Amino acid sequence: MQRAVSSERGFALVWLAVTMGLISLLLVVAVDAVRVWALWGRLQAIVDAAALAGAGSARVREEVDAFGNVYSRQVVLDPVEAAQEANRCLDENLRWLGVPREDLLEESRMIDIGDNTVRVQVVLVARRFLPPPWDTLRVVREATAEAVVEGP
Amino acid sequence: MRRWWLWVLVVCLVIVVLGVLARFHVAGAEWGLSNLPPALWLDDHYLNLDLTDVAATTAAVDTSPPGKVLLPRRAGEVMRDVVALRPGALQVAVVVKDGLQGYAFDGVRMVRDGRLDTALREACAVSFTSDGGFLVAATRKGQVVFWGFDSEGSLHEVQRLSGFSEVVAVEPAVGWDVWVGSKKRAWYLGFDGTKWQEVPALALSLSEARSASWYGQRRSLTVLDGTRVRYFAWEGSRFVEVGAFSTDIGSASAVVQHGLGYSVLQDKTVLAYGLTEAGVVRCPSLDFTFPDAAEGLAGSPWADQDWVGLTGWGMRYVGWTGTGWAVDPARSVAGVSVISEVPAGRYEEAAEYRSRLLDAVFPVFKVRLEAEAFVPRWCSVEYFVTTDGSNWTQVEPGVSTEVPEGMKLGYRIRLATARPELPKGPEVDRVRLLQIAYRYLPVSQAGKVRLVR
Repeated sequence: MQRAVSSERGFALVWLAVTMGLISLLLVVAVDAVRVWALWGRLQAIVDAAALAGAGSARVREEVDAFGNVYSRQVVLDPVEAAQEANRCLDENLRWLGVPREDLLEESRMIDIGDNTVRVQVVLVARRFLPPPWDTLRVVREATAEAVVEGP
Repeated sequence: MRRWWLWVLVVCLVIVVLGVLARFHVAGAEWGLSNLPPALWLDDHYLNLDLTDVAATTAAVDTSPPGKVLLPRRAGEVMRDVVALRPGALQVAVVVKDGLQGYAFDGVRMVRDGRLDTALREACAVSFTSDGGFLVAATRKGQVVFWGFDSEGSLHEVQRLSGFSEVVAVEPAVGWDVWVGSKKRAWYLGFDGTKWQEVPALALSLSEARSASWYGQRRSLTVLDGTRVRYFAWEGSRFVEVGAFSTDIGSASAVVQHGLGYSVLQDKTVLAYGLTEAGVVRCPSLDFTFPDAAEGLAGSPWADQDWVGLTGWGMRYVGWTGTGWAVDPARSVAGVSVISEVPAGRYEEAAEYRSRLLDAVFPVFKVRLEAEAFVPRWCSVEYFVTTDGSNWTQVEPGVSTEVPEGMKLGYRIRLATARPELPKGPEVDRVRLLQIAYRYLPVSQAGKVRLVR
């Protein structure tokens, strides 16, 4: 009976160690998940801003006469200027996000200029606190903005 | 102090007014008038010819209000024999649109006399016989109609002849006989006691007659034939031309005989010619000038030296004063027109209006033309715009149209009708031509940017 009791005392330590390990693992996964979720949100805000900045460089061309009568309005988007604006916005905001750094790298960016639209896509690679092959995560976010005229 | 709330109210009102004014000021700034491009424009109501290229315009521009561009009207048939003064009675018969209309002297002035009214389509000349017993009128269809008078002085038709083409005048002759003058021939219609019929032996051959005048006391007929006044006198068996009394007068539109000889009408002036034993002599001191444009003359049987002039005002009675002639307003009739109505008056089939070329400050590449026009059926109005004076681009009114880039701006209008005999042709009352320019605004000012996912 005494040998059996002494064996049960050792089990408690093992149980405690396993439990602590599981809790630590869960904590790591939870922290990583929160970090990735936050990264997704921030990166989405950044590509939204870049797309809006690119589309915001557009001009509205009005056909007017000497009396100020407006006969038509049309959005004119200069692709070079729009791409420059979108890139400038991306650079500034990624720098604010801390990219590049050891655990967060920019893998690619794509800026597509349409007649009156700007589409921005950015891919970041984030290092996770998990062992291989789960130690990295690719975060892909994209946004499209358009410039439109108001009124007739 | 007891009215403190009144002062508060006044201050509030002042604040509200200032606020409204400030709002308008801001609105004006947003309107951006100072930022408008120096675009070219012209707006013509055709009340003057300031914007018209007069040398290149073939259309008629009527600058009297409201002003319009229209097809020119071909010189309609001018009927210079549209009044007849009745011998023995102060009555006048006038050719009007649908027949004859009568006037009579009431002791003070000429008033309407319905007894001489009668319907006669396309009447072109009228006369009384020498004694005033019959009224004779000719039509453009070549008919000659004779009316007698009943006991009340009203007309009743007694005979109708046909076959007279291009009639320019009907004049009395001996007794109840009458002359019917056309461009190429003067027919003598003799009365045989029961009816009128042509007397071929007394017919006169003419070449380009425009006016004729009979003077009973001399038994003579003068005819304005081309540029010459031809004087025909009764020889005993026929009428012969008297060379001594005939004369070249150049351009003239009408001739009338009177006691001194005859007179011819040149523009507003009536040139007097006297008949002497030596022949015809010019009498410049007796020339008479109308205050308005005149087209025709007619003899007066009421006095030896009198005659009437057909002017833009109407029938002006010109009486002899002893030393010269003067208009007698009492015996004149307003509104008598020598210009025939449709169908003799016709529009030109096509004509063009051209504007002056205006210089642009910056290149013209797009324009908008707005027009107010009346385009009846069978008619058309086309608009063209040029930016260099030689190449024309057709434009639709109210539609912005791209044109070849240039530094000038002008337009032309082409009016046309397929039915020139219609009483109403195309008319353009106003054209506004605008240069369309581009103005670039930030998208934040005239549009918006939004995300699309």
